Amino acid sequence: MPLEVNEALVKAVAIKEKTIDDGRSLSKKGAYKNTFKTADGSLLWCECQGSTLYKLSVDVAGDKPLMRCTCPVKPPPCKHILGMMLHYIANSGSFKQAEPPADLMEKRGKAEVRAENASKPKKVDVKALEKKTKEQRDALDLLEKLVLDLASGGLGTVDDKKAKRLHEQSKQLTDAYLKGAAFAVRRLASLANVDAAEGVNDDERHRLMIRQLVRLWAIVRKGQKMLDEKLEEGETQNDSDAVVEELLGKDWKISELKEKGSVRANVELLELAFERYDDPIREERIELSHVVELSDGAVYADINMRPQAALDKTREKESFEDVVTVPEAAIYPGFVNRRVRWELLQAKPRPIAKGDWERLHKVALGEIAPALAKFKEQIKNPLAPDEAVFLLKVKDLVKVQAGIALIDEKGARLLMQDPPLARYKSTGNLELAAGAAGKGGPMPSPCSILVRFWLGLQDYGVRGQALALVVGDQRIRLGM
Amino acid sequence: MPKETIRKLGEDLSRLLVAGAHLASADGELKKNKEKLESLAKQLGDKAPVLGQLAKAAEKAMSAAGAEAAKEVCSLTTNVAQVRAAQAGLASADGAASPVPEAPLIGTPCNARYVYDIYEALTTHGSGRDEPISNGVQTGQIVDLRLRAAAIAAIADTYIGQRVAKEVVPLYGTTVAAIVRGQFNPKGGAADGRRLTALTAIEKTGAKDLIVTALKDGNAEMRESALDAIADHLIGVADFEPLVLETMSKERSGGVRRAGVRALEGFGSDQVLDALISSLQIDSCSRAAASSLGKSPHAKVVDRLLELLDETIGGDKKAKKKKEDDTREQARWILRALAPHKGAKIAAKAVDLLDTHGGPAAECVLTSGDGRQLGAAADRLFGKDNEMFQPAVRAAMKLGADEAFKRLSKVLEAPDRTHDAGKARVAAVFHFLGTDADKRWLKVLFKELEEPSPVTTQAIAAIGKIGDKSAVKPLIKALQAKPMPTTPLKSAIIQALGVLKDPSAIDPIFDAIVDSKQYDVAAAVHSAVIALDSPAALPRARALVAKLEGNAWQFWYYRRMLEQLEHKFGK
Repeated sequence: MPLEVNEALVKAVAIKEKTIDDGRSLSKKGAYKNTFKTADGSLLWCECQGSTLYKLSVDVAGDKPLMRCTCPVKPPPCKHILGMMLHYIANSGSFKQAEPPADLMEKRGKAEVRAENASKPKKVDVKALEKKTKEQRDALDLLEKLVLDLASGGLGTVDDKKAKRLHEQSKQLTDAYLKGAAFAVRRLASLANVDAAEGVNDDERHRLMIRQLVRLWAIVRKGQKMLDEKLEEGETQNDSDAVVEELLGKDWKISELKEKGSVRANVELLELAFERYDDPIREERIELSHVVELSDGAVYADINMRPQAALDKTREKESFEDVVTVPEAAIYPGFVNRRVRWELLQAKPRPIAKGDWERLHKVALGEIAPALAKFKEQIKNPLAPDEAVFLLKVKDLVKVQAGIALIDEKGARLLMQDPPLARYKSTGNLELAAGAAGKGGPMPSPCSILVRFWLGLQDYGVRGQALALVVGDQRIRLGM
Repeated sequence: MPKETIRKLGEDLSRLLVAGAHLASADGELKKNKEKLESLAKQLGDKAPVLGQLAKAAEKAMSAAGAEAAKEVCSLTTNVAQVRAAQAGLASADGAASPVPEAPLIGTPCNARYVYDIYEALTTHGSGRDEPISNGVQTGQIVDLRLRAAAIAAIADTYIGQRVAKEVVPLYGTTVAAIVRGQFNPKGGAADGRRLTALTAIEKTGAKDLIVTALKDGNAEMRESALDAIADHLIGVADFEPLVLETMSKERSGGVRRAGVRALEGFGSDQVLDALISSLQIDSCSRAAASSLGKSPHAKVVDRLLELLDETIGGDKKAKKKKEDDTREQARWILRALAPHKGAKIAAKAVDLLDTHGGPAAECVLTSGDGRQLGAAADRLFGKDNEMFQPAVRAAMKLGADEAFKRLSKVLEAPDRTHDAGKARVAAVFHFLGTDADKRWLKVLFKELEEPSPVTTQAIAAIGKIGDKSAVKPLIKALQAKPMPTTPLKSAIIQALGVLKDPSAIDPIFDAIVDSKQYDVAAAVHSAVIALDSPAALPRARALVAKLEGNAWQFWYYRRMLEQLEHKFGK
């Protein structure tokens, strides 16, 4: 069944609102001529008078609209395409029914074949893959040398000059399809320049560098093993290898995840916290929704990463105020907080009902202990992130000598603190929110908290940074 | 014991990685750790196989050289990190627990789209940051828990700090007072002055200690901020009178004196009166002094001012030595100070000064109940002195409804009504037409609507202010007239319809938007639609904005209107 051409589709495909405005303007000016559609409305085509006469079409027969325009603006959709869709929405009667031009049908045919081929198991170009794997393998040897040089020379000798050299060397890793490893090297290099102004002393800085070095060493070791096996035996379906692959820099496609069976059906996701930050290492803006699955309390990460150089050409991710229902959500390989993604227009938002808050409180973990166990399991793996986000029930929040502590049903205490180099400090906000909710006494019930677990640098004590507090049906976003 | 040994091993490995892994072979501490691990491994055997593994790995690290040593140290460090992670527990949160202190509620109303805009405006540098902050204040979204810390820090910003201190931080109330206090330095500069402004707005008399310290120990900038804070938030609070007087007695800085004069408003002692009277004669303080004297509760203030007036314009030799303009200006300030007070003496003195001292003299005559004096002032309406017009109108209005209407309606017949002075005269009359205006005015004003002239826009505004709903239909008719009214008239009609608050005007207003680029019309539509405060406007606004062409800034009013309507009536 073809997609419906409506405002929602226009908004979903548009990169910027301004392009929608410009398209609307074209429609109003009467720029569209010779407007046609097929009988089932799945293919629209016309001409648009711009600086020259452009020919354009929108094909909504498939899962995603195929948009074409002869104007020089790429990638689509340009204002001409969006304008045509809007023109159709407002004046569908003015689009005459006609047999589609042969070239458009040919393109549709090719697109269908492409889609079919994409859904088939890919025929692997063995030689090309082998070549790529070998390049990666060689680059890991380079990485190994780099790590050992750092260890031999001592991290204390990494000054600005050395850090710059590391940054340069990381480019070789990128060239060899090891983007993830390159980022890890750059992260270590960037720590050389962190100073007291950012709230970490030399000792803490060195400990952070050591953690990064350990991660790099694990990338080397596990990466070498995985790639050696790949060269010998071919692709594996092993989940832990998938993690290594992603760390080396693989970009998963939704279709690949579906092929692996890594999907969940009919998920209902409620966003509790949203974070946006610019990552200078990746040179990307990261937009991250922490979403809770209402049926089981799993905390997923819905992440959008946009190149800094192309912020105005890429669509900004919105924060969800409503519950989002997704018929089929693809889940990335990973640890406690797996990344979740879905196809265009699949997500259906609906207003949050009172019952949703009740469900949320029900699925929150009543005790800190199981969350701690999962966290420890994660951080035992040197390739895993050293943080994890959990939804916990709050029996109480209290002041102790060391700061604020969360108390669970069994009386266990989790110290709430901001990690070193926290992008945003939220513990002060937690104290105020708790003071307002508790009014100087125990916290009311029900109360749940979304908390990021992190490991102390020196004492290896686990602490929590609050991201959101939910008291009854009030969501208080503490971080950003 | 094993846990501590592993911890120690981890620390020593960290030390080696910072200093250089090649030092492992000669490291005494590493050797001790290895031996301890071996001993523990022997003791615990199969119960803790990892100890033996770590001991062997430590041995390897110590006996390797060069790159091999680095390899072994890296591997060992990885293993130790894994073991420590498995052993990790909750950080200590022991000790006595007490409830989190009560705090006022600060929500998180700001959605993600705007919170980062406001956060960046508060935390970055450069121009163009005013708008998101201003929007945040207007919509209330800036009072967001996540923005609190950034708002406090922004007090120090030289570009937005003043606005933040006056309009933003006080909105957070007592939740921020302790932090701002902690940052406040009474001997500091402009930023600290702004902190004092914010704290006084929040704490009122609770900030007395800071104000005292600022006045005693602060520089001129700080003292000025302290006095302005008293003037803005603590006017007439007795505790501050001696402080302000003491500061002013020693003060040389013009800015501080001005602020001190403002701060003396509402105090009625002899010393205050003396200080204000002498400040009246200082150029930089005249305006503030006149304002404060106008509100003085001192029993003798009128007598003192009249005395001073006599000295200034009368036979005092010193006064005559001054230049004539200075004398006149000085007298006008005295009259301004007298005007808020009532008394026949004031009017009697002022009526003789109407022609020489203009508006301020006329303001003084208004304190009279004497018809002759009021008539003298009202007569000046048809003179050339713009400053006289408003007091003349008020004087006429005090002569009774019929007399007022008879005198004031003539402004629309004056031969110079389309010129500058005439337009100012008309504006002065219309300024005072409000909901209590004589309904005879409507007939006069509708005539202007039918036969437009350069003062018709003013007449339309007056129709709106009179507030009589019978004006809605004629206004709509005028809006829909063919040919179309000119842009200024259209804007005026739309504004007036907004003031009349009749929802039947919504559609005619939107229908009147022919060219969405007309800036004046856009501003009028925005103002009127928001004033009409009706959900019926939302679908029309959505449809309008959906069709807009061009850059966002061109249509700021329409977009802002839609934003406000969505905020109020949208889902």
